[in-house]
Amino acid sequence: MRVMVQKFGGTSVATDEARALAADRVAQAVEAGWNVVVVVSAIGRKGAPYATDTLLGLLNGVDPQVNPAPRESDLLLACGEVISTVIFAQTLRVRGYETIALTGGQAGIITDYEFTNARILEIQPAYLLQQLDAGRIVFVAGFQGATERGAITTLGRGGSDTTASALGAAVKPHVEHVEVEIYTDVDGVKTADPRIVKDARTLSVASYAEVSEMAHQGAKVVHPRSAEIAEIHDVPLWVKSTFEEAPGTLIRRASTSEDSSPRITGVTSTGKLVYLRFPLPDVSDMDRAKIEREVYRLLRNEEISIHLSSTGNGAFAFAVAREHLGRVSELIDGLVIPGELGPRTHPPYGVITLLGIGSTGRGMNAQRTLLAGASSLVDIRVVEADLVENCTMVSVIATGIDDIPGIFVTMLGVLDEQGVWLYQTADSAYSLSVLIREADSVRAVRTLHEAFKLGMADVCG
Amino acid sequence: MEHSPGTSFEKERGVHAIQVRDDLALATCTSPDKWLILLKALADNGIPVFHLKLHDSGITFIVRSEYIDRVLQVSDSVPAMTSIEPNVAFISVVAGAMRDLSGIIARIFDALVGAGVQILQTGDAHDAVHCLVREASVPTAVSALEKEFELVGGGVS
Repeated sequence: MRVMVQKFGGTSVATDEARALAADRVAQAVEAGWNVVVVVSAIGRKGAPYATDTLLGLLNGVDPQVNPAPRESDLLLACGEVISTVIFAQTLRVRGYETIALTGGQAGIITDYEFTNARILEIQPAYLLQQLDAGRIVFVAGFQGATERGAITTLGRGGSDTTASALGAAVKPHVEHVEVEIYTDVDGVKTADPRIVKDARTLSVASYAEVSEMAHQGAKVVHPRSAEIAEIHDVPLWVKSTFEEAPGTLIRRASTSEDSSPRITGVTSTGKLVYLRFPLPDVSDMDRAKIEREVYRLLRNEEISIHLSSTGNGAFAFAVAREHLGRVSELIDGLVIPGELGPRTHPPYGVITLLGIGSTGRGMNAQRTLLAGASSLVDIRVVEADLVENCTMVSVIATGIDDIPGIFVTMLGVLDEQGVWLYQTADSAYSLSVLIREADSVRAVRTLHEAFKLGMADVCG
Repeated sequence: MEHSPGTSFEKERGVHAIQVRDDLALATCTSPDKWLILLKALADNGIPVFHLKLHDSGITFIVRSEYIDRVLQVSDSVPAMTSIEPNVAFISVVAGAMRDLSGIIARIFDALVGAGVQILQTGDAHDAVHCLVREASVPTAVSALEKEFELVGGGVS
């Protein structure tokens, strides 16, 4: 048996016309001799009657002050995919195909109990394989599974992509060949967002690692978790357009000269960030680390993730998502951190560090007034953090970064020539990133795409 | 079925490894108007740099120890004010689904500061948080991180 798992996102099933095109893709695969599993997302995006965000809004609308129970939230959210799956199955049924629609749990997807962000523990594909063997197209509601006791769970963001890869991985040991196709509204993995870069090119082949990195750095192609599952189980993954006849991008293990040689794959931008830099010029490294620790502890308690962390050279700095700025300000502006003790015999008896965000922080100024009375007894070290709002991160994705001479300096140099101010940089095995003003983002992406000639050849670097 | 509960059908969440890369040097260039020229000169001389960080006073970056002399030669030719701290190591705390896990860096600071390890530099990627420490601190640092993330008996590479 040769199995094709096809996944269709919300826009691919949102209208009769789109659904007809998506149904054509399924029919083509069947006519080509594939046994087909179809994974479907909820119909449409926010505002559509059964879209995930709409259902969530319905639940939260009961009383916005009371958070829904995660278990019940999942029970409701899973309905969007179930409705979409049944409607799409019926679309193929009226064309004369034998179909069966399954929930994630019925398809054998067993998850842990982390409602709203469950992790797949195993998939028992026997029933799904039995239905394929009987000649049916099997439609599976994406984004969901079930605990071993039958409670419906959802898989978190990108859940339908995850479902598709996971089902491909689950059937692989039992069939002759399996491939997964992710259908979307672009014709494959692009070298940049085509809305920003007109000559963004579609990659014919990409490695799992490249695509995972691109997705992590902001490209909206395939959810990274989907690419990671496909990589673990070595399942070929295609990204194709529902609406265009184009070959798409094959994502696979880097095994050929094309995708294992050093090359630059794309430019991405992601995140609405704010950057905070705490100058501590006359503070020992250990004391600075203690101050950092207190700040990071507070952010951990609020489950606020930090990015682009940097320390040393008389300062520490990090970025957080802009949506967290208000809470971060509440936590840090006016934060008092006891420091090292001085001699016990005479003042100053120690050091107190007072953190603020900017010189006008209300919290810091209030604390400063309160601490004024203690200034004859202890040294009060006031640290006013520099705040840069409206930042974003632009990344160059590459394979074999160490083997592409001068890639980082080229990146920094062309941005410098364009007058793009760099606040910080980061590098990993597959990407180089810069933190810049959001207003410079489009220019930076276009400049880097051109500098690395990403629109011209299929292999760069 | 091959994947029973508890095995890795998909990536485990949480910290699963600590990686150490030693034999490195931390370079500091304190010529704010020369660092880009320096980086270009290093690239032209085939000297790979990584973990570049921008500071008010200039930049820091890491090079493999074998390049220390050449970095200083190139820096002199620019000329740029560059100092090198040899014998440093890069410790990476590697995690799956890092975006779901706020606070890993807080736990790293808890562990390392608590153990008296001086952190020279930090950095992060979507799957790891990196800390630069002196080589002499590596055993203490690894031990503290193993304890913090309950990796004793495995996970270090």
